[in-house]
Amino acid sequence: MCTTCGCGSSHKHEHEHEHEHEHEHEHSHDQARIIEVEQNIFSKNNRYAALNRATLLRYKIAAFNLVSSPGSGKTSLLTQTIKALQTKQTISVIEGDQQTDNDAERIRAAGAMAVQINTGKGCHLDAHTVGHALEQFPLDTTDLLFIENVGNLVCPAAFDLGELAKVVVLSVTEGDDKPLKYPDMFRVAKLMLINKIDLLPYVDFDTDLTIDYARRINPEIEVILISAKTGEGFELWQQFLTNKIVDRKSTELI
Amino acid sequence: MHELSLAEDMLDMIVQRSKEDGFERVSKVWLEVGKLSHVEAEAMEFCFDAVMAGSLVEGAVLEIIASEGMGQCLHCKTTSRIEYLYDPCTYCGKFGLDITQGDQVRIKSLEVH
Repeated sequence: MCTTCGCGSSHKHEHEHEHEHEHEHEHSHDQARIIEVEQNIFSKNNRYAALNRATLLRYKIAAFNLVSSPGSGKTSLLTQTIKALQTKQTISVIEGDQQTDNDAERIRAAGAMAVQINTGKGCHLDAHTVGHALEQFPLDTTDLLFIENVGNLVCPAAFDLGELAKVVVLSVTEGDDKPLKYPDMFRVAKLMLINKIDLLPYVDFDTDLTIDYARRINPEIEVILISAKTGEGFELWQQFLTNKIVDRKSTELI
Repeated sequence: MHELSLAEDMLDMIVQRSKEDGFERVSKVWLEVGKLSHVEAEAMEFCFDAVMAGSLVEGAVLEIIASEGMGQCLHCKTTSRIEYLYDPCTYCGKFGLDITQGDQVRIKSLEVH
């Protein structure tokens, strides 16, 4: 037995011998030790998010991360928003989907610049990918950036992309208890858009109850009732965006 | 299943740490998972072995330490233990709690060789 470290085999140690001697083989110590780490596992994503946030601040761009389940009408809301605002603001859009660039095409057809990110098997966008997408836009002329996340009410909640705020879109054709079923998303969102309100007469969706549920989790969440189809609620939504753009433009760089 | 990409980020962090601390193998990972966090412990266990295969963490035991959810009531300022994000204050019954514990996911420590 090795008398230096107590392990069972012979191996090299520094001896205070004047002579050299042969050993049968070398091996590394396999002594276990515990090291303290205390590291948030989101820290890698958060580091990239901080870089994106700094870039967006430098170019004074107001960025919103749009999150929802599939089919809530995010892309239709965006195309209508672009049509309504494009004479006043320059809008860019990052589109996240597992496959196809159909949504980016819809955005371009509406008149904004769009970069499509296909996540493949991935169920959410991450800050690193978004950072590379940002490189493809003329940031110095962009006022407003929308990041349309993968349609998924779970995973995108966990990942900061460097946005100013997450905006959760919930349509009235979904259950009115969605905020309780997917509380993580409603906790991190600053604004809830209740979409497709033109369909309210045809569905059993209790708007007040949904708002109550969302505010149990996030008392400060703002709410706008909206319809991408009829344009109802767009005035409030545009006002929300315009206020954020004005705030961002007046932000002094430190 | 965002736990898959988080397990990949964990591996990157551990590889980085191995360069700083000079270890070659990891045999155990202690991971604190808050009950109110974005991570589901079972999903993380499912992804862990697959992601760590072929790395210096291959075969390591994942020891999950669950941390309780705690929230401070915005109304009565009392801190109480909660199971879900939508739970009311245990003391005054009102909704609206500021989460003070249980929303974190952290690598606490590693057993290394």
